Amino acid sequence: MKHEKIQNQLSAYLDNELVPEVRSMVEKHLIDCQECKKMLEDFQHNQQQISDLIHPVPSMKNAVLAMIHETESNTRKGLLSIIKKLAFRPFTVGATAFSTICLLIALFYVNPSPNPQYDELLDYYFGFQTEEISNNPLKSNVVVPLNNQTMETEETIEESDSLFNLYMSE
Amino acid sequence: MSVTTLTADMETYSDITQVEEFDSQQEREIILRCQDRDTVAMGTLVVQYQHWVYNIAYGLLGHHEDAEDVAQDVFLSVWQNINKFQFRSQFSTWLYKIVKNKCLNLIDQRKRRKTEPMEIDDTQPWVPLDKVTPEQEVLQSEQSQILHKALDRLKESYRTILILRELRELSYEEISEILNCTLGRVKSRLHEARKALRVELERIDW
Repeated sequence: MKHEKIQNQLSAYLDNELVPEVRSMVEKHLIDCQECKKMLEDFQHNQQQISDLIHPVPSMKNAVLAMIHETESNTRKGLLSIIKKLAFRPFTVGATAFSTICLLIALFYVNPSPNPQYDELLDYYFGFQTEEISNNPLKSNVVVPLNNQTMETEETIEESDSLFNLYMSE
Repeated sequence: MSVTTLTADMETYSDITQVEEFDSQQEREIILRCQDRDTVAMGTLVVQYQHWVYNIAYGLLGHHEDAEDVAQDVFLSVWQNINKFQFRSQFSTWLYKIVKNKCLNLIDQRKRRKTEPMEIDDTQPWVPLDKVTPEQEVLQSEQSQILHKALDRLKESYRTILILRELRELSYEEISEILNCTLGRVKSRLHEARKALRVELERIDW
């Protein structure tokens, strides 16, 4: 095997990751090749240096558990507020709608609209028979016949006819 | 050993050093309890993995406070997404994937904000737990500064693969799963990364 190929195997040789045949070839090469020998020694030295970079760690158990508890309680609070919102929303919406309707009905009865038809509609739907329609001309659409006026008109017509006849006869 | 005893032991020693690792059965039990929203089990999981999560994050970010923030954020993500873990891979692989993603996100954010280049924070000594003399401490601190400088100059993909392999000694299979690439790609990228680190360290020495 060529020098370069052997050199590329040095790292795996150091980690004992070579098959026995290749391993023995590398070992044979290392006897004669000072460059590869030096490289392997440097690799070993650096490996030792990095493995020495181990630092005793102060326990972080309490800090981690505190973080976990905080996160859990935040999640619970978040869930609770969502549930509250979802649970109470129909009630609040319903209550608001009901009170608005009641307010509108009350307003209609305190200040009746100028058009009596709407009031009768309210009476029809909600059954509020607080007044007799017949007694309240504003709330009635029954037309009262104006007999006197008609008579007067007829008389007027009759008078005009008689006047016309008189004019013609003359 | 029962999980409760194990948890108590781990709590006692977690401030000092990494704890004895779970066997797969214990780990499965703890994860299942976490999936049932058991915060005590989550605490146990944090104690078990905080050492590696923090150190991998520090290796990638080069800053203690950022590493601690990321580590806490990682565990919060684990808690929120633990039900998505279906035991198809090792839990550690799934966890380190989250660490890698969080760290890369933070690096991206830094780049977008165009902040100053990462400053190596060595306010806390990077020393093994054995007692060392002040001279050794200074020397080790200098060496770790140089190493971090060199790591910082590497491509993100090189830095990530080196930290996963050299710091945590993950297998090629685990790395390929975390980085979502083939075994051949892991092998070649790791070799390239080691060569690149060697070059950077030589440059800094000059």
